[in-house]
Amino acid sequence: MEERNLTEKESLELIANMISRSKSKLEIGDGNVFLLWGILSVIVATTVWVSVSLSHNPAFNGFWALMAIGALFNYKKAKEAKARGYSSYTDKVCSTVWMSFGIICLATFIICLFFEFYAGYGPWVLMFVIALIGCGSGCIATGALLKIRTLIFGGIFSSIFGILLVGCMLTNTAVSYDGVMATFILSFILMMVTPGLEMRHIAKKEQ
Amino acid sequence: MKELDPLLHTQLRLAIMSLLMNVDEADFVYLREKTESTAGNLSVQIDKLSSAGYITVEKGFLGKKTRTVCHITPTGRAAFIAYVDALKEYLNL
Repeated sequence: MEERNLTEKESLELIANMISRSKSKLEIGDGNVFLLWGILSVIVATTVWVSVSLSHNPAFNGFWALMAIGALFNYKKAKEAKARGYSSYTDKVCSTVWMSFGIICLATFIICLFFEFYAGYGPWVLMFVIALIGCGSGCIATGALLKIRTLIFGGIFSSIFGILLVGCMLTNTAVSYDGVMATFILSFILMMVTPGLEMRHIAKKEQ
Repeated sequence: MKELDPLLHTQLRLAIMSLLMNVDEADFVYLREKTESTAGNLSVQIDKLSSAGYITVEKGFLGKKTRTVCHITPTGRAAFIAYVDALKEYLNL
């Protein structure tokens, strides 16, 4: 491209051409982030569920720390995104939504840890609630931005389950551990694994 | 009839602005690839747009390599919109 003056018609054509060039065909992404976090959550939750159920030892809840693996993947993805050379408005909104969710999760973890040492009992069930409602809300926001309906439906399902769990806690209603774990796993399949597969399918079709 | 902004009414500068209107930020390599321009020419035009306050330029690092990132400013966005409006008038659209 050279530095020369244009006619009005050429200007309009150039603008249209540049807009079409800058439109990322893969703005939706390949869905790998959702798939990874979804599969990781399902594997970790299943491991905790099976270990605690078989041994009746709550110490196996420590396996939840394996969720930190997902942060490494996010770091790698952020580096890849920088190397891509541009960032769209959708990328910016999504990254802000999910970074805020990450900060809230970390803050909840620290609060639970504080109560564990201060009161002798950590309200770790809060992590469940934050994961379900926070992650569900993040999925709804991302789904609305990217126009992925399964993300929205999965997010709604997960958030409703989270609210139900809060209702049970506030009313001292007994809940079955197996039921909670099974629904937690189902929530992550619906809000992350299924949309992740759909996004992968869309990305492959567009390539 | 509105006058066409002379700063935008050239091929490369208009291409840069059109690309930046569509993204939150873009680096030098991306702009060079999309506009199919030479590094020297692109650099000169980016400086002109930056001096006019139409874009901001941030220099940083990606690993060991330097990375120049451009953003459109509210002034640049307004100028681009005014330019397109003027174009529409000229072309009776």
